[in-house]
Amino acid sequence: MDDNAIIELFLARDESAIAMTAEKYGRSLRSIARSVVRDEREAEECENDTYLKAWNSIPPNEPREHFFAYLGAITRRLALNCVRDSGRLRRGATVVELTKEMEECIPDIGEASERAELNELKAELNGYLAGVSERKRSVFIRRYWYFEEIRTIARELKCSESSVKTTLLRMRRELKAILIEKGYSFDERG
Amino acid sequence: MDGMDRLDDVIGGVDPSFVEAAKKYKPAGRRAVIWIAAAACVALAAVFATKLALKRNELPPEEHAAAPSPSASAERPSTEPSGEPTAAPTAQKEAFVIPPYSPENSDVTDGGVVRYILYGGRYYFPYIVLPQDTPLLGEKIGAIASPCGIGSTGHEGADGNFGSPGADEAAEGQGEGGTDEPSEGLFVGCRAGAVFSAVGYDPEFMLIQRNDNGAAEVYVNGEGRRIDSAADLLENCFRLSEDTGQLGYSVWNNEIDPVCLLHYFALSGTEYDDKAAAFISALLDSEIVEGVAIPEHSAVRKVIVKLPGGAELLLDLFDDCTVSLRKGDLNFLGFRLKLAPEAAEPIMELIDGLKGCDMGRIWDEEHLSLDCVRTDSVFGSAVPGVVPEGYEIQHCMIHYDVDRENGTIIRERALEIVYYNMGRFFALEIMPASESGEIMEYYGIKKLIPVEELTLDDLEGGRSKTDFYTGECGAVKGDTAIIVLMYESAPEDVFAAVASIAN
Repeated sequence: MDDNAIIELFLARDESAIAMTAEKYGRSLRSIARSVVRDEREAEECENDTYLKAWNSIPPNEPREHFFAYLGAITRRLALNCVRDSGRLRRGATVVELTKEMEECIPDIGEASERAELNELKAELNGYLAGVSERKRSVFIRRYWYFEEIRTIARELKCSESSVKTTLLRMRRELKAILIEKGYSFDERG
Repeated sequence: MDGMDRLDDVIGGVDPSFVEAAKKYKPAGRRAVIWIAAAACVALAAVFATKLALKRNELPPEEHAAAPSPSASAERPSTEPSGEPTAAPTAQKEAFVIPPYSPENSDVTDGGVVRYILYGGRYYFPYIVLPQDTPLLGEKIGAIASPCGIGSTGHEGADGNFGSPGADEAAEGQGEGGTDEPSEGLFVGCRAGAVFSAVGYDPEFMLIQRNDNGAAEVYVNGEGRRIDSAADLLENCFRLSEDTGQLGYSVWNNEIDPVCLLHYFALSGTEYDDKAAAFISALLDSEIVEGVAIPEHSAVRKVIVKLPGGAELLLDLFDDCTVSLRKGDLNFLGFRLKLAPEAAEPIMELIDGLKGCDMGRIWDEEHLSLDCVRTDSVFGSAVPGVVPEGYEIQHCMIHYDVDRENGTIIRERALEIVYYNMGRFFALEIMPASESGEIMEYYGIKKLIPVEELTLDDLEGGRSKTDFYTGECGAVKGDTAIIVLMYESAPEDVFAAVASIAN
């Protein structure tokens, strides 16, 4: 079933929407969750909570264009919340590693920052990603959005782990340089 | 806001179209060209093998093509050498033997010789080098006591028979000594030393030797396997009946040649999903209708497979693919399908990433690559430059402009040499400087640096112009341009090779 048809089921409040969504995207969503929480049971809970959130948010939302990205964004947020709630000690190695990497290239805009500033930062990131090659973009997003491990990315993109690491390192540096140029400041860790 | 919040808030705001595209992206580009080049290596190896075989059997090509050849029926891979060649499966229809590559309409003659192993009447050619500790290395099944000569320099004995000095002694325990004719159990080869089976593969299909560095060099049977149907084809390559769980596929749209390439591989641990199953099923239900005689030099064999519904697939069959194999586990072993757009439709329907994909043109590329199949261990002196320590020449290839319609070569365009060292490699493309503009533009190389002024920094500084290579640079000596393409090679090594070629 195509995404539009599933969205229509959601809009019609037809509960089969959830079954259709699970059939089409369940495994991928659970995979995202699993990458973060590192626990099959918690990943399953995240997946199920994703359907609930989707049910409650469609309508008013109608994510016809990018339904999977919409669902995936819910899942990753739920998974990160799950990790956060479990306490820092339980954070998986991947999340800890990614956290450090993010601190290299995304500035700390502060607790008191306005949403407008956050949106500006997102726009800068999207602008940067729009300007790089599809391969680089894929590497970056697989790593930081999907939380994929380096070796998984290397296997999927048929390149070496070293190549993936190098690509990510360069991209973080490029992004940081661009953001510094735009007036963002980084603390010493970055 | 700590890094985790940034992950959540900022990365979470990535454009959803990027998010979805990231998962669909498949690598393309020069990798495919390299892959094709390596396939061309096998192709010319097949030429040589064919010539040898024809000469040995003194059969005209047609008779040779029809002669029974060892079948790769669905036997479980064995580590024991076969006795007699297995009888071909009884076919309901007339058996079709895929003809070997024919050099007709080409002015290319032998073009050099690759290393090979002759075992049980079959020629095995170098396929890939794996690390010393590869789990693929099986039991020792024999040995070659002394190396053969190559080409006209000794491969052919004075009496016209084929064999090698010491070949009789080489047949350790094989019981087939005393004859110059290769027979089952007798090993002859360009490299002396023990011959091993490959774990999980039939010795009729694959053998392994240690190379000079101790690494495991995989050889695959380069000719004459009998194909009765597409199912046989899959059986031969993949032991399909027993290993379906190991089948997976990889697909990408080649952006260099506007051709959609489908690669179906036997992948270790890859999920065997519905789409792969549907594809395999489509092939299994099909029949091969005829061979084709297109002067396509980069293909090992060609067959047409008729799919249910009337679509026909033109298959280029390769026993190899290369670059991605370097990590050690032999998890890619496949054949390549070049699909005419109309023939591809049934397949494209099965694969999300291909649905609606622009297939572009097919079979009308104006450039062709022929492989010189030179390796440093047997042909080093012919390579116009030094081979850095630890490297070997994976292949040396001449690019030609061709008239495909008439199957003739118009002129040489460039020479390409690929140096390989366990996962690292670099390629040098040598051509008239006046004709280097196109390739420089492709790689984002802004200028040609005179070789005498070339520095390691130039090689290092050229990195990341394209996605695949980790470095690109252009050098020039007189009227000759040397385009340098590096993949994780040390610039010092590359520098040595470039400098020596210029000299």
